[in-house]
Amino acid sequence: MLTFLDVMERATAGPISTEEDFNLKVLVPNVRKIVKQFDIRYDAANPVTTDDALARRLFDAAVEFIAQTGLYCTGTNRIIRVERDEILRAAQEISGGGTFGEGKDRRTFQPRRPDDATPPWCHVGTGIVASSEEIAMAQVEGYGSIRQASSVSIPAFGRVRGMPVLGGSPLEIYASAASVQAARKALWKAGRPGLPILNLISSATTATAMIAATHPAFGLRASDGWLIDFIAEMKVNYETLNRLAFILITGGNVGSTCLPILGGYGGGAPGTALIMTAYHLLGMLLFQGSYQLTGPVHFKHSCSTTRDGLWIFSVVGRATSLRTRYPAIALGYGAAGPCTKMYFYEAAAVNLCAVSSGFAGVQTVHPAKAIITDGVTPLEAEFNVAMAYAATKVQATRANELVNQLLAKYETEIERAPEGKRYQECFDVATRKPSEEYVRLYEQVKEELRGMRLEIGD
Amino acid sequence: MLNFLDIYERALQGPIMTEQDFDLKVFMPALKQVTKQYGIQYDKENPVPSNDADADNLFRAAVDFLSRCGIYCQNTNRVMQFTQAEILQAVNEATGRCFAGEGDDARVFGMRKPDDPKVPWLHVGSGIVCTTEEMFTNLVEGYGSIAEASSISICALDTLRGIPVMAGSPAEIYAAIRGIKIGREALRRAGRPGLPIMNLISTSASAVTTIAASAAQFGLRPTDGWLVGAISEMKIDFGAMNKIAYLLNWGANVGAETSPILGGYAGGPASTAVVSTAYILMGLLVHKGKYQLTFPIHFRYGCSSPRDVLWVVAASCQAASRNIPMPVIWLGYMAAGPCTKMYFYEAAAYLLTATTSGAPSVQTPHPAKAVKIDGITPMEARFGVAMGTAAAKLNRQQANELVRQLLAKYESQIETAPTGSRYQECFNATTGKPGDEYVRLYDEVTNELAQMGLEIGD
Repeated sequence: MLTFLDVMERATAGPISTEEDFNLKVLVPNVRKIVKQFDIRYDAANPVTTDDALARRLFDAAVEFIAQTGLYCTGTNRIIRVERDEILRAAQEISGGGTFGEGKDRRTFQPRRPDDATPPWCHVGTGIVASSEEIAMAQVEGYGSIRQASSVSIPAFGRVRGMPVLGGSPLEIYASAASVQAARKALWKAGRPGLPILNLISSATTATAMIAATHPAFGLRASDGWLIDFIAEMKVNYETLNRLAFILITGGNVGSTCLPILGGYGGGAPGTALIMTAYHLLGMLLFQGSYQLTGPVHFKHSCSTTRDGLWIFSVVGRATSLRTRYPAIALGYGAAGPCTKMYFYEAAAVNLCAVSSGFAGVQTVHPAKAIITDGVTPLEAEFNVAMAYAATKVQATRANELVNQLLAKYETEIERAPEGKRYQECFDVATRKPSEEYVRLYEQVKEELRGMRLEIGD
Repeated sequence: MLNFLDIYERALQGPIMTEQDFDLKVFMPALKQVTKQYGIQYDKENPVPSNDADADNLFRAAVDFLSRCGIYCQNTNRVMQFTQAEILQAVNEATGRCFAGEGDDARVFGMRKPDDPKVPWLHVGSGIVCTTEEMFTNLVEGYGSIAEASSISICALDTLRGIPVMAGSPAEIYAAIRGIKIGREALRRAGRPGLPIMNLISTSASAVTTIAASAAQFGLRPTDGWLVGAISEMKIDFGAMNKIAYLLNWGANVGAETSPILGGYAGGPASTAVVSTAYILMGLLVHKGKYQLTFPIHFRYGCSSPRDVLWVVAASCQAASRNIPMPVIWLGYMAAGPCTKMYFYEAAAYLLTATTSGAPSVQTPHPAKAVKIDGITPMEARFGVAMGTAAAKLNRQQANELVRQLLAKYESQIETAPTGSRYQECFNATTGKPGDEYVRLYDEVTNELAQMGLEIGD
C-alpha cells in the first residue's frame, strides 16, 4: 500500500510541468482520448442509467486515465504518477468505509450496490454559512433531531464579534473552533452527543485553521470526518497535502472530496463522469480515505440538478459501487432555495438517482447553490432523509422514469430558479419550528410525490 | 486589558499604508525623535552601564515610541496603534510569571532585577539544524543532563527520509512531529521527562506546521513554550497571529520572539536600545506572551557580541527588568563556533552583560551565528549554565570591567571569527562524550577566566 510519504516522494520527484501544460497537454487530451477509446456516451433520455456494461467501461477508463494523467501538485509543479496495478490492488483490498461516531451513534459506513434495498448513510445538513451562532445551533439541533441521521454537516461561521472571517487570518481560527464547539453543544441538546460531524472544518478555508480547530480541547474526536479536497481538475496543493498529512498522522477519518466541474476541463458529461470516477479511486488510494464526498457542479448553472449532472451521478455511482467497496456520499447542489417547490423536486431527483445507482450515502441537497447565508433549514434535511428512504424502494429503471417526470417540473426553470428563504424567514429561531407556510408547502410536495407512487414517510 | 481579538480588530481597522511608508515615514522618524527627545546615548567605554535613572528613562522612551509608531501588520497593510495608557495598562497588569514544566521540573519562570544575586532561569540548547536523529538525541540528552537546566531548546531537522524539509510542505509537518518525539524521548533518557521545551517548534517555519505538531498526542503540553516571531522592525504577519490565536485558545505558553537589528532600520545602538525595549512591550501587548525570547544582533556581523550590541542588551535589559514584568530569555549569537577560545570569550561577555543587567533568563549563546549545521554541542550549554550562575554573583560595575577585558581578547576578530567544529568533529556521536581536545580547551578557558576573577563551577 502506498504511504503518505510515498505520495510526497512522488510529489517531489515526479515529472515537472507547468500547470498550463498539465491542463492543456496532458489533462484535456487524455480526457478526450479515453472517453472515445472506452466509448463513454451520455444518454440524455435516460438520466438514471441502468447500463452495467457502460459503468464497467467507465471504471476501466478511469483507471487508464489516472495511469496516463497522474495528479498534478501545484506546490512542486510535478505530477504524482500512479500505476494501474496500484489502483486495482487498492480497489480489491478495500473492505469498506470508516467507523464514525461515538456511543449509540457509532456506526461503520458500508458500501451499497445499485438497486440495493439497504437504506443509505444519511448525511444531514450543510456547511452553508450561518450569520449567527444562534442560527447555527438551531440548524444543527434540527439535524440532530432527525432520527435516521447517520452523520451531520455543520454550518460555517461568517463573522466573529461582527468582524468578517477572512481566510488565513487569526479570526478564521476563532471561527473554526467556535463553530465546532457550538455544533457539539447543539448535538448534545438534541440528545445525540455521539453523532459524527463529517464536514470538518466548514469554517476553515486554510489548512492552518483546520488543523488548529482540530485540537481536542475544542471537542473533535478521531471518529469525526475531515474533508480533504482535490482541486478541479486532477490537482492538489500543499494546503491539501498538509491537511491530509495531519489527519493521517492523528488517525482521523479522511473524507476525500471532489466537485468536478461539468463544462470545465472535463468537457461534457462523459468526460466529467470519467474525472469524477478517477477522483473516487484517487481518494481511496492516495488520500487513504474513509469515505468519499462527491458530486458534479455545472459550470454555467452552479448546481448538480441538470439532466446531465444527474446522469453523471448515476453512471459514476453505478461504476464505483459495482467495482469498489469504497463508500461515497452523493452531494448535490440545488438551484432553488428553501421553502420553494422547485428545491424539493431537485432534491427528490438527486436522491432517486444516487440511491438507486448504488451510492453508499446521500447528503442533504444544498439549497440555492449553497451560497445564501442562512439559506438552509432542517426541513430540507428531513425531506432528503425521507426521500432517500423512499428511493430504496425504487429500482433504477423506475427511478429513471420518476426523474424524467421531476425534470419536466423544473428543468426549464434552472436558470431563473428562486433563491427561496433564509432560516429566520421560514423558521422560528427561538422555538426551532418551521412556519405554517413552510409546513403547508412541504406537505403539498410530499402529497404530489406520493401521487407519483413514491412511498415518502411523515 | 486588550484581548487578542481587540488586537486583531486593530489590524483590520488601523491606518492603511505601504510597508515602505511605514518604515520610512513612521518607524524611522518616530525612532529618531524619541531617541533625541529622551537623550538616549551610547556609552562606548561602558558596555555594561549601571545607571538606573537611564534605564527608567529608556523605558519611558520605549513606551512613547511604541505609542507613536504602532505595529505594522503585513497582511492587512495597516498599523495597529496603541495609546500610552493601553501600553502602561498591559505593563501594570502583567504578572511577570510563566508556569513551565511538569513534575520535578515544574517551575515558575519569574523576574530578576539588575545586580540581582538570584540565578537566572537557565535556558539550555539551541534550535540549530541537526543532520541526524542520533546527534539530535545526544544533544538533547546532553542538555537534559545539565542539572541546573530550567528549560531547553531542541534542534531542527532538515530532511526526512531523504526528502528535504521545505517550509509549509507536508514534509515539514512530519519532520516537526518527529523532532518533538525525539526531543521528548531524549529527555526521558536523561531522566527529565518534565523539563519544558521552550523553542517550539524549531523544525517549523510555517504556522500550519507549528499548529499541526502541537496536537497533544505528539507529546507537547501547555507548559512547554511556543515561539512566535515579530518581524524586524515592529511588524507582524498573519502567520504569527494565527499561532497566537491557536495557542491562546487552549492556554499554551506563548513566547514572543524578537530580534532588533543594530545597523538596520533601528539605526545605531541608542535607537536600537529603544526598539529592543519596545519589543518587550510588544510581547506583552500584542503577542499576549507569557515569556519572551529576544536576541539583538548586528546587521553586518550577524552576532550579538560586538561592543555596541552588548550595550544595547545591557541598556534594554535593565530598562525592561526594572519596569516590565515579562520573563525574558536573553539570547546571544556568537561569531565564533564550538571548540574555539573565542566562542567562550564572547559567551562570557554576553552572559555577564545580560545576567547583571537583570535578565530573568539567559540561553546558551549560539555558536557560529547559529548558521552552521551541526554547529553546537552540550559543552557550550554547560558553559552557558556555569557562566550564568557565576555572573549572578557579580554586579554591573564588576561585569563592565570584565566585559571590557573580554572584548579586548576577541573584539578585533569578530569579522574573521573561526566557525569552529561541528558536533561530530569534537564529540563522539555514539557515546555523546566530548573529545579530549575540546575538554582540554574548555579547561584552559575556564582557568583563564578564573584568573580574571570569574569563578566558574565544574
